[in-house]
Amino acid sequence: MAALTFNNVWKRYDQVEAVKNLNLDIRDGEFLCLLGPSGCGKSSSLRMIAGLEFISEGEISLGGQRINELEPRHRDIAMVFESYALYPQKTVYDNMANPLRLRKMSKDEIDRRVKETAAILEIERLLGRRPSQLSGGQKQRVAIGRCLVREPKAFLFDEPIAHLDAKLRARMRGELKHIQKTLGTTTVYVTHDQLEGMSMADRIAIMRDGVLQQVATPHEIFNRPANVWVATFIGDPPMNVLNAEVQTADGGLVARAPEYTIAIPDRQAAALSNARLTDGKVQIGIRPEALRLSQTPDAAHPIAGRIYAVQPLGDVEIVDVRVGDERILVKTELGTIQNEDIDVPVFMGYKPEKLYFFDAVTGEAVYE
Amino acid sequence: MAVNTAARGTSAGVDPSGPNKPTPRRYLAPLLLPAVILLALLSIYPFVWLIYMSFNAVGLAPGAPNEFVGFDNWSRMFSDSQYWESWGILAKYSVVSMVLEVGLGTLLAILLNRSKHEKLLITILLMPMMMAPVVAGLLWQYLYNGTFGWYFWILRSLGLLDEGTILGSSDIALWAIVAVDVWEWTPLVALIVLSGLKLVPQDQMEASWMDGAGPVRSFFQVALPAIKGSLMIAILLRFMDNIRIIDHFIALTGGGPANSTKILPLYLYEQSFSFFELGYGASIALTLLLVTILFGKLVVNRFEEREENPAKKDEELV
Repeated sequence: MAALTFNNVWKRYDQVEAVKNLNLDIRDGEFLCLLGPSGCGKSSSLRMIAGLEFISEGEISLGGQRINELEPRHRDIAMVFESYALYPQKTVYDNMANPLRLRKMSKDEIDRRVKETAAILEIERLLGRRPSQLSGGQKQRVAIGRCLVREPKAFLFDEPIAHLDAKLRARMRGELKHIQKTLGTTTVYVTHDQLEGMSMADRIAIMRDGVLQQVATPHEIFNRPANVWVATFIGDPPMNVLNAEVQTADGGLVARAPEYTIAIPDRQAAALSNARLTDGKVQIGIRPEALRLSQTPDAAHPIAGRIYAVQPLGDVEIVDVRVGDERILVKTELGTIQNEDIDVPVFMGYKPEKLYFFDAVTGEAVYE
Repeated sequence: MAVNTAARGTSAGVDPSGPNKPTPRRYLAPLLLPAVILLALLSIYPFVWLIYMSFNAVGLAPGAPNEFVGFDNWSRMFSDSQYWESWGILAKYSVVSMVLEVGLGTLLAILLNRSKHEKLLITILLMPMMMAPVVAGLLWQYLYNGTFGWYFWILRSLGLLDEGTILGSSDIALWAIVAVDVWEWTPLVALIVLSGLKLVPQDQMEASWMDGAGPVRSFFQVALPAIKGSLMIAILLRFMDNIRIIDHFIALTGGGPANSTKILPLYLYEQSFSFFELGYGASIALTLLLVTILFGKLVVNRFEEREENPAKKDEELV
């Protein structure tokens, strides 16, 4: 077990910069999730830890030791691949024993470890089979087992459950988290699925276009996103972002758009007047679940719009509302509105403390 | 009649109701018949005729009768010491050149696979293969020539060849011809293996590195099982080619010196077309064919064993 550190790490493929100046400390025993859309550099970062990609610039260290020049086999890191990458001609037992045999471990010790690990993963009765005789979920367990037997310094997971069906994925999230917490091994987990990151990780590192956007606990990422991109990337359905202009009115600040005016709470007003917004342009973020909906206009529901579409989801529904040229999603309990026809007028209310403000040009969040 | 049925079979095959529907069984025979007839004329008839010839003293003049001689040709063959010697030389030749070609070809394929100039190098490597074997033989005869040959000169200069010429020494003439074959056909093996290397799963390769395997170990653990099929094809092709080779030998040595390069096909050629012992030649040809078929069957069986991995799926546990 060991801590992992990225120090000004760059990855370049010819003209493309896949990872740009990454600085990241992964603590000993931590479950860190690298999250981002495809092509954001998360896989490149992971593969640089593994030693499967050269580090173009900077340094990665494991347990305080620089590992840039070490070959993968000398890094003592285990990796689970998206495709599982099991050896098709070997049995499950031999697949799991392979890393131990390469370490010249005694036969008895190998046997003990493989069986122990198989018991943890509940794959004991599969040990004699070949990968072609396994289901996706079973293959995935064997791939994890091949990593567990080694007791390495760190685990790397590259989208390990992306190919499982939704039900199995939900179950494996719990299993993986349990295993990681039991063993306490430093783990880096790459995924594009925010649900996996939010539900499993101790901390999430969000990347976009090779640049690290924010590293924080899932709770903090959700509640205090660093910028508008992170804010809209996390959360389902995504956060609504409205464009407005900051103006002075009645001694305070308001954000004004053609269709509505939103009073800016005092605690954020100070920050906003200090933050030098370009042309006074601001983006207002509000999560769909923070909006209230009503079919009668009143002071508590000041933003007027018209229904664009309604998506029922069991106990809740997502109402897509058109306001001027913009569209706002509202997540509300089923039956909040009676008339769900298209173009029916609706009115939205919000709690001022649930509003986020972002610099419209830089996208940076403005907090009090 | 057969053509008519075949035409109807074809239109049924493109039935709009199901473009991927397999052709009904009753159409298979008429559809295959034309090809089967052609094949029969081209290869089965000569084959049967060959068997007939091996039991006869074949008359040479047009219309001359064949004389049935029973097993005479066959018994003569089994007591013919040159026949067995020729088998020995052929075995040495084909095994050594096959091993060299497959070994070097695999190595070459690995290097090509890593090279940035793969396409250019492949084009260059293909050149020897484009040459007719006889032309290649003649070319090498110049290189081996005892007066002005390059290789002759080099070997002499290095002191590796004390006396005589390359093709004139019964110790090394055979190996000189092996070199020609290796030169001409290693690139083909390399190409076949290269196509196999393209299919080596990169993720398994990486998993094996992560498991702690070095480059050699990961090659044997991941790459070799993946290119086994290509290797089998290369071995089969080269063996079947080498066992019936004659071009290089005619161009370079004609069987000499002192019969040291008289491989079986050359002996067969000599018996049939120099001494016109067509019946005897037929018996030799049949034994050659038999060995080719047996070896080919052996390789194909090994290949199929590998392909038919048991994939019985038990009930799924998740």
